[in-house]
Amino acid sequence: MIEKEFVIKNKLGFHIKPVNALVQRITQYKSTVKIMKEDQMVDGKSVLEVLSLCVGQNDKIKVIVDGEDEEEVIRIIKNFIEHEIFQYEHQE
Amino acid sequence: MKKEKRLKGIPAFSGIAIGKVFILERESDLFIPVHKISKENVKKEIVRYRQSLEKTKHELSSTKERILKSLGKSHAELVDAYIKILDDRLFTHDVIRMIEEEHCTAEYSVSHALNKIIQMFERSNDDYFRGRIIDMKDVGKKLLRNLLEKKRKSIEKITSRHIVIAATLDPHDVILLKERNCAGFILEAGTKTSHVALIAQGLGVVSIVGLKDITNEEIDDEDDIIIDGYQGIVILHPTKETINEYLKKYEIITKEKEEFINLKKSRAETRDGHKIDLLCNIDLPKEVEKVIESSAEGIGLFRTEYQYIYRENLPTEDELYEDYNFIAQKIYPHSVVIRTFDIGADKLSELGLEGVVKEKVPSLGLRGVRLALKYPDVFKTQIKAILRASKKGNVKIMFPMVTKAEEIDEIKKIVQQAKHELKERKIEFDNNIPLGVMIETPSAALTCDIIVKKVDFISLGTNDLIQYTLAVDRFNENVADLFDPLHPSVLKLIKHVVDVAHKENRTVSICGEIAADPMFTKILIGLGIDELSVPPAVVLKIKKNIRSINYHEAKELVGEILSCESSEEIKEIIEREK
Repeated sequence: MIEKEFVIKNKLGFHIKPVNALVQRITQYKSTVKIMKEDQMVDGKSVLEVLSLCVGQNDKIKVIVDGEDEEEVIRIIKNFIEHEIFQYEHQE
Repeated sequence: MKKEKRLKGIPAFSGIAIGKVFILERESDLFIPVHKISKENVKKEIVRYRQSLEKTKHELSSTKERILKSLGKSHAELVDAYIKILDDRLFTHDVIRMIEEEHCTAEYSVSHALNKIIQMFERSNDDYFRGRIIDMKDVGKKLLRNLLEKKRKSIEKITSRHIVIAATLDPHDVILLKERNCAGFILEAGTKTSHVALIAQGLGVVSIVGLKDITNEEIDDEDDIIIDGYQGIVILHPTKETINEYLKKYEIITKEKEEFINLKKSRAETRDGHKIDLLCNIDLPKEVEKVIESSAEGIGLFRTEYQYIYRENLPTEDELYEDYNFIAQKIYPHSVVIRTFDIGADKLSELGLEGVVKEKVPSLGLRGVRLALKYPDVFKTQIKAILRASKKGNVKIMFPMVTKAEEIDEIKKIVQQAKHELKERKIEFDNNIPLGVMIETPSAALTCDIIVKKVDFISLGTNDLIQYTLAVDRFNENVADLFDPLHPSVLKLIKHVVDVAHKENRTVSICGEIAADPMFTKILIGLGIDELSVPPAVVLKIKKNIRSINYHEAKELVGEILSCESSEEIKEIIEREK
C-alpha cells in the first residue's frame, strides 16, 4: 500500500474534465484507489465520488493506492496532478 | 382576481418575456410509491433498472447529437458529462448492490444513492461544485421518470406565448423549448453556471433559475406571467398596468438589440463612405476577448506597464513573450500594436534595478524611451519578446515619449541587436515588423516631418500631448480645469502632425481619451485621423457616432474651428452642431 499527499495547484481544482481524465487513466489498473480530503474518503475510480470531494485550488488530498500495480498507479496520479491537470485550465 | 406577486431568482439569460404559464412538471410528480421488493423479484428489478439506465443513456446520446448540431462542441460536452454520470460506478455498481442486498426498488435505490452524493456536494461553498448538484438531480430525474414510466406533460403543447415552469429541465428539454419557440422558462433548480443555464444562454432563451418552490405557488396553466431577466424577477398575476409597463420595455429592448447586432456587423465608416479603423486599447492580455467581442478591428495599443508593476523583479523574456504571443494569436488576423514600457524611474527601482534615482518631477524626467535607452538590456529583453510573438506578421512595436528624432536611431540599433540575437538562437520572427512612435510631446509634434520618415506609423497620445502643450498636470486639482483638449494650440498641433504624416503616406492614430469621447469624434475625423483606438466598452458607441458623421461636413467643421481664437468659441460651434 502506498500513501501520498498532494496539494492541488491548478486554478479550478478537481473539475469534471480533469477528474474524468484522471479516472480514465487509472480505471483499468488492478489496484484500489482511495482519495481523502479532510475526513472524507471516496473511491478514486468513481468520477462522481471524486467530484463530490469538491477539491479546489490549494486543497490538500491524500491518495491511498493498494494492489499489485500500485507503483505504476501512484506514478500516473502524481504526474497527472503535478502536470497534466493544467492543460484543462482553459477548457472550462 | 389573484394578487400580483414578485419573486426573485437568478437570471440565466437576460431579457423580458411576457406570456402564459405552462407548468411542465411539479416536484411532487416524481413521488416514489414503493420502497421495498420481495427477494424473488430482485433479479427482475435489476433487469428493469438496467433497461431504464440504457434507455436514459440512449436518450442523452441523441440529445448530444442534436446539441452538437445546433450549439456546437462545447455545449455537447455538457451533455457528455451527464452521460458520464450514468456511467459512474454509483449507477453501475452501487445502485445494483442496494437492490440486491437490501431488496429496495430501483427508484428508491437511485434516489438514495443520489441523495448521499448530493449531500457531499452541498458541503462545498464553491459555485462550480454546487452547480454539479443540479446536473445530478437532472440526470436522476430523467432516470426516475423512465423507471416510473412517467410521461411528462407533452412539450408539444407549448407555444410561443408560453413561459414554462418546472422543477428542473435537462439540456434536451431546453432545445425542445427553443424549437417550440417558447417565450421563456423558470426553474426551481439551477445556478448561473449550471448546464441548463449555459445552454439557455447559448440559445438565447429568457430564463430564471434557482427559484425555489415556484411549482408550489398558486399558479395555474394559462395564468399571466412576466419574466424580467434583467432584474431576475418573476411577476405572477401581473396587473394590467404592470403588463403595459413591460410591453413598453420589451419594445425598447428589442429595438436596441437589433441596433446593437446591426452595429456590430457594420463597418466603421462615415455616411459618405470614409473608412475609419476602429481599434482597442488594452492593459491586460485577457482583455483581448473583449476586443473581439466588441467588433473592433484589432488592438491599437497594448500598454505593457502592467507587466512591470506590482512585482519585485524584472519580468523575463519568456514571461513577456507568453503575454504577447497570447494576444497576437487570439487577435489574428487582426494586428496588435505593443507599446514598450512607459513607466517612471521609481517603478524601475522597485524592480530591483540599481542606480535609479527618485525624481522630483517624474513627468519631466526619465520615462518612456528615455528610461528604456538608459537601461538597454531591460529594453532589449522586451523587444525580443515582442519580436518572438510576431511570426504571423500581425504585431507592431510602438515607442512612447520620443522627443527628438535621434532617439529613434538609438532605438533602431537596439531593435537590430535584438533581431540579431534571435537569429543566432534560430528563432522565427517578422523581420519587417512595423515600428512606430507616440507623438505626445510638442517637440515631437513640431518635428514630426523628420520623425515620420524614420518610422512606419505614428500614434497621437493626446493625454500627454495636451499636458505638455498646456503645461497642465490634469491630476492637480488646482489646474485640472485648464486641461483642455479643445485649446486651439492642441488642435493645431494635431492638424500639423496629420498633414505631415499623410504627405509621407503614413497613417495616424489616436489612442488618448479624446478618441473614446463621442464629443470629439467628428472633429478627429475632420482633422484627418485614420484610426481611433478606444477601450472595448465604447467601441460600438464610437462606431455609431462615426456612422452618423459626414466626412466632408466634418472637414468643413474643422476648417471653421481652426480659425477660432479660443476654446470657448470652439465649444459654441460644437454645441450648435448638436
